[in-house]
Amino acid sequence: MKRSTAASTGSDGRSRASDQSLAIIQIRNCLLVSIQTELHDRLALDLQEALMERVRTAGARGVILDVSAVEVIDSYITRILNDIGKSVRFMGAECYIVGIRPAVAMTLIEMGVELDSVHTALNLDLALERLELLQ
Amino acid sequence: MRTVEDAVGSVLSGAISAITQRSIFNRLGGLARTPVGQLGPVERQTVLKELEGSLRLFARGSSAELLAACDRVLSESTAPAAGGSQRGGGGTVGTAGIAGTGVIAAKGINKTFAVEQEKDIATARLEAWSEAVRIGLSKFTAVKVATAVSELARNIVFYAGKGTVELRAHEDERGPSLHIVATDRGPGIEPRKLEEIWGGTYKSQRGMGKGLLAVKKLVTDFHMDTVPGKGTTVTCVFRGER
Amino acid sequence: MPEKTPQNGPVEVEFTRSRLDALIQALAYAAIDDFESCLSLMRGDTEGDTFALLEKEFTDFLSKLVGAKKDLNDALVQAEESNRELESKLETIERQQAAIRELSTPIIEVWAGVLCLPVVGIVDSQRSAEMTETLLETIVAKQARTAIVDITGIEAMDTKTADHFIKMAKAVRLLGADCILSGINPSIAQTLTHIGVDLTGIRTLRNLRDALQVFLREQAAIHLAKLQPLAEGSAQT
Repeated sequence: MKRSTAASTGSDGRSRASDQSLAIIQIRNCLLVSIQTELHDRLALDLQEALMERVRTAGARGVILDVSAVEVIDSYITRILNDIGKSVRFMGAECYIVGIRPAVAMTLIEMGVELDSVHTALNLDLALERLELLQ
Repeated sequence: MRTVEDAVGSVLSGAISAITQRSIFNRLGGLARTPVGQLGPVERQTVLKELEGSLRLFARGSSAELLAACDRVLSESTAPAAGGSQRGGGGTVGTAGIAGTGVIAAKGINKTFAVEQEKDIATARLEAWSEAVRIGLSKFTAVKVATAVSELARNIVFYAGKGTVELRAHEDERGPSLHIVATDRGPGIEPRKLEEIWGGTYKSQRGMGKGLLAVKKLVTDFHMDTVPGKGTTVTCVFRGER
Repeated sequence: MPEKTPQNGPVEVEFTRSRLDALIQALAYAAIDDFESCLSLMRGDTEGDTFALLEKEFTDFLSKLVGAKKDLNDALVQAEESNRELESKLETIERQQAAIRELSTPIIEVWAGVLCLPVVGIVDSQRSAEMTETLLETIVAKQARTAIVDITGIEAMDTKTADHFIKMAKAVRLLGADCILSGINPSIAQTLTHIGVDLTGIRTLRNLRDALQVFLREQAAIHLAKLQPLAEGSAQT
């Protein structure tokens, strides 16, 4: 498994504060990120960049975002997730969101907000299974 | 803006049975549904007279005191109102709220948060969630509350730069409810944009329109006042299911 | 002194000041609902003069008023009592409804990772919210990959209820599980078409048995597919 951190070096060359970093773990040829902290603008863009880079260099076929620690997903976060999904797809990989909480799922449906550029799976294993089938 | 029915109902809850209240409001007809702020002096007297008779016969507790409390609640404008009182044997009457913009009775303390930076969004969200749980809304509803506050707080930070989010707990015979008032002195929203937002066709860089529409679909009551150049106030209510 | 007077002409009546005062005092008592004091004032001896006519009429009227008020009061007190009774009955009904709700959302795991939610009875927005919450939580808790929502027990649906079920199915899919709606009768099918709902990703089947059959067939196919490469491998050796 290879580990790298998003946001460790930005496009301006400076490294960002370590408490802002999100670990990207590689499993087989998929990339896994566990979202623990608030995904605001800067962090989200850094993550997107880092993922695209890693997909390119590792030839990853899938990106799995674990949101089981996320208690609220609003329309803004949805857009971030969709953006990550689209950019990763651009690189030839697919993005899976796992671990959506029941209350979060229900809220998203009621809001009419669509997670349309990503797939969802109940857990990591199932996401890996689906990604394998996509080969 | 509270209706006569809401205002009087909150004073009388626990002192008069729900059915008697219902029959009083039925007799008052349209007056019961009038917002308190729009009640003229003559109409207020009519309501009080109707209440007096029923209170004298049906109320548990001092009818004079209750009538006085109703009078106060119906005379509220923007001035702070006198506090309510505890009734024995029945429900608790909340203290009448102090509001710059509206008249809403609060159960306990009103909480206001300044929202300016991104981290304030998370704070407001967490506080809203806690408050929702505290007043007895279901855990699924509490997540909806937190999500709505997140949307509104984000809009304030992204578009207005700064503003406030106020949480007011309320209790009436239908159960607990949470009122959320998000205010800013930002650029406001033009009527045409507003139409597009409600129609679902507005596309913005940061997704503001989607956020507002999402909040509207989530809440029990939704109201927005926006004046281009002056600011925006969004008021919404989440009601408990039981 | 009795006077003979024309009906519409001016009348001069003589009476003592104290009688007038008594009348005024009685009226004052009546105004503040103190009818006892009022009537006791008027029960004094009266002369048989014209003023006495007024006094008598006044006293009669007051007595009737007192009687009527008492009757009204009694009726109102009774009404209030029945109100209280009704209200306590309503509370009982509410408690029973809550109990029924708790019992009425059974979710059965019919196969490993396959949940079934049979829906019967009245589905209002509160109940559908509760059902959805329970279903979603159970799916996550058991990591169930398939949820079959069986609405055979529902005869008809209005558009609002149909909307709730569509939201339920969409939420299940959002979690990453499969959702199958079974038991849609023609009337409900019509409602669903009418509201122009997008059922992509949500499978609909005629009844629970069909749903389970389809699921089992798919499982078999998946297992077969997994075995295939092994079979080919061994055939080559």
